[in-house]
Amino acid sequence: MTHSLEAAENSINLNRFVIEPVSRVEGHGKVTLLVDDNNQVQQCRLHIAEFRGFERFIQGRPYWEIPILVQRLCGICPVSHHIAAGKAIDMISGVTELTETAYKLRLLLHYGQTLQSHALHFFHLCSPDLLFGFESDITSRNIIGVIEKYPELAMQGVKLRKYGQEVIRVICGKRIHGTGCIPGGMNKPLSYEDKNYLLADIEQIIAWAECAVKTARDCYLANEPFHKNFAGLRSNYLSLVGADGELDLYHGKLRLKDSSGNLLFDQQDYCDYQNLIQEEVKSWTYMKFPFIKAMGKESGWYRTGPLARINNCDYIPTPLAEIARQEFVAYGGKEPVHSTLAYHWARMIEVLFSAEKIKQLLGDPMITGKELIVQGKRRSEGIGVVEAPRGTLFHHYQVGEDDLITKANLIVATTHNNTALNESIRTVCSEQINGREISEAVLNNIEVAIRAYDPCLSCATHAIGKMPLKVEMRRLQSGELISQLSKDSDGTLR
Amino acid sequence: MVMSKQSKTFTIDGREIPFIEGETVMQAAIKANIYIPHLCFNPEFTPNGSCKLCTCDINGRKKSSCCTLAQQDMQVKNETRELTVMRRTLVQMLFVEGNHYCPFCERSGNCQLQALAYDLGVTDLHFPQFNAKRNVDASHPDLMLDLNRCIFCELCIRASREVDKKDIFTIAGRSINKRLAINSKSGHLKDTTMKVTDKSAHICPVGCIIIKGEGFKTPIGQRIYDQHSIRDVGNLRPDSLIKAKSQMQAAEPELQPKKKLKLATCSLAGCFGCHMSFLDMDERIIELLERVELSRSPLNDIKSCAPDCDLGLIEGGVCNTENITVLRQFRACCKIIIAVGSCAINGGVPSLRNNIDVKDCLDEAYLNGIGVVNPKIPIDKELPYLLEKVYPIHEVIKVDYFLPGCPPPADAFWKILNDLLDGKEPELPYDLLHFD
Repeated sequence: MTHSLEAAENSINLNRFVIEPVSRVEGHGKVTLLVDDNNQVQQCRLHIAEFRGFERFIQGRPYWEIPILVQRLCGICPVSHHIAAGKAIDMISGVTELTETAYKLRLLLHYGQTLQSHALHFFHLCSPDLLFGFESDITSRNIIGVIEKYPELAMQGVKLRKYGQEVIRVICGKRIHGTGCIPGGMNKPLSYEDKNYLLADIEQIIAWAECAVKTARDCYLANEPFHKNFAGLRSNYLSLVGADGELDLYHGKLRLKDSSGNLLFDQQDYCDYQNLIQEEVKSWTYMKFPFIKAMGKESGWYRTGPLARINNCDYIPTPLAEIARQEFVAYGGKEPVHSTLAYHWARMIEVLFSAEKIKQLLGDPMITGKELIVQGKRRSEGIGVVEAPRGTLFHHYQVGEDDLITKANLIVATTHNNTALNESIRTVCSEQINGREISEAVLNNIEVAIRAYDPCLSCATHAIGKMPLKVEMRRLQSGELISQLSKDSDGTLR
Repeated sequence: MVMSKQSKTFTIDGREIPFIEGETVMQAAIKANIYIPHLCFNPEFTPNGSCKLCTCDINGRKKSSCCTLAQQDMQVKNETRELTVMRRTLVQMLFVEGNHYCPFCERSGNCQLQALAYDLGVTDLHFPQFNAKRNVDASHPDLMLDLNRCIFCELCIRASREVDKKDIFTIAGRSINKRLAINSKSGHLKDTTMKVTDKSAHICPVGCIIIKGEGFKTPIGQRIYDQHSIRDVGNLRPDSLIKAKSQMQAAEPELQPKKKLKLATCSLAGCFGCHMSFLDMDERIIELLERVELSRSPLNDIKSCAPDCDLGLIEGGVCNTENITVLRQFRACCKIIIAVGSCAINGGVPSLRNNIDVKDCLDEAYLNGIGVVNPKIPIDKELPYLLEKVYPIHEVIKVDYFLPGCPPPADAFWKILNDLLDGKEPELPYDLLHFD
């Protein structure tokens, strides 16, 4: 553990380095390093410095609007928010069970988005690091470089993502920020034309997904001793699992494993999340730090997302992905796989799982059914949880008698990984950066560690924040300060 | 034979229009299948003349065609560039006066204000937002009033008075405090005799009077104005599809066709959805990259804008001082700046916080949040100062073009970028112009 790097003992006389913005991730974040004259990192932090604000301003909006509104948290995984909020408003409208068709359409939508989000992350954003090297030339260390050097691989990535986006489009009417979930169901059946359109390419998609698993695995194993320990952590793992312990991204109950793979809890109803999870606030970032209440904030942190899910589940209910999972688990031996870079491998196993699920769903005659909505007796509270591409996503709403939201709480997937993200980059500082001259290439190691988690910093910036421009705040500052602008009382910006 | 009443005529844009004594210009135009833009006019009710969108040039003077009686040999001009510009401005003023968030409004796609904006080719709002404080009244079991979206057309007032005989609605207050008020002791809709079957529940041209339980049931693509422009729906003039054109009088792009252009992109207070929609060009990205060189962008590791960029695409609104710094750098480095998506153009969903008290916001997230330990408000020198409000980028820098949508469709990116690459003035056809 490298907690010591969270705060330097004395920040005076340290050199400040900043990675801003952290690139090839979704959203806005920055990393600051305080480094002494011997190039030893004394402090390292990932800051979430951008704010929009949802939990407060959705208060007073009607509950049926929420899935459409809150998906605008994030343009990469809007469907996760749409579905999590959709599940919560199902509960508010008193519906515990959807029609078979509506349920399967939701599954199809969710697996379509998992496919596109994972493909985007691996191919468009991360593959340059893995294919060219962490400290390779900046000018080609991007998707354009990959297109030039590995055109076939790049094209497979582009088309995998496209397929997932098309699944979303046929269900929601748009690829990004469409409409689908309404209280108690869905607003449109899947047409036969659209089903056949998607079926036409599914075998090719599954074949490419298998290639993606191989690519991620081979990249990882090619330099296994280095990759195994890079940004390495031993952690707990939290995810939903199905009733039988199987991998399920749409619905299930919470399971927590410790770093040795022992079950700390299992089959916990997510509606009890308030008794399981708390969040700590730290002054230097707007992203909170969740932890398991019973374990306390020092040891109760955990990781979520593909690595957690593949480590946690007992099996994957599709054949090819299950074979891939067994290989992954065999690599870990008796323990969960802890390597941060193994996230990529786990993520591609989920791409394969999603592709196989999509095929299953498209082959199901109920998928084109017309019964889409159920009604129930209105309740005042709803909680919806899904496994979003980046991890477990919680949406919780309370509603007044007039149907308007009175309270909202969101714990987004990336937030769960906040402690792990910070710990990982501190490990990189200790093991890769200390003693070296700081350069762009050296700093990219930190970004490589961040990217492994596929953090969605857009999602992470949802928390309300609006710091008033007050002079006192400046007096608190010591050390270097980036030049800032201020806002006059008349609104003039200077 | 006596001259029949029908033989009286006047002209609209040179076309001879018959009318009956006592008819207004609007009534005669509708009978002749000529579309004059309007929002507050509805043939079932007494004309109000409040929205002014039907203003025409009538014998050389600007008059509301819904309130002007047709007269023999009157000369009316309806389709002129001058009137289109004025009507666009009126629509922009209606948008900034209220709080119109098309991206999550359940009336989007079926909204006449939005449809008119599409028809007139409105791509930006030009004016600063009023951020008026308006209420939502959801007290009625079947109906909701979202006053944020009221445009004061008074159709509900007239419907309630003239048809329902209930007089439930009225206008109260002045200036920015002007509002649709309810005629009941409590001021709430639940304490009136209003029923969901009333005419006034089915008259609102925008998303102010909402029937509960209907939201988002019509899928995208099947809404009225997804398929037809507002002027086509009534079959008024099937041949008249106005092309959307950028509002800003941008300098002629000093671009050489065929030259590789330097493109920079960034996201301020946004969700990255616009960048994702950019990537939704799919395989066409590869084609585009043959003509474009990428400078600073979240898609690569270049962290600052090259000083000689040709194009800058900005997603997101301006919520903190860092956004301002980045935005000004982009303006200094890029010959052309395009505001991309709702947030950049009018603040978008994040600007919902513009009407909420600062302390309220901070407390909700960091002090009163569910399951929060160590409650405190983050303050650190590494965290940029937040602004009082979320601003559209045109309130901070000059913007050359606007690409609306939440997000704009990939085809719209493709169209606009290719227009610019070919040295043409960018234009969006109707089917690529969306506010949601």
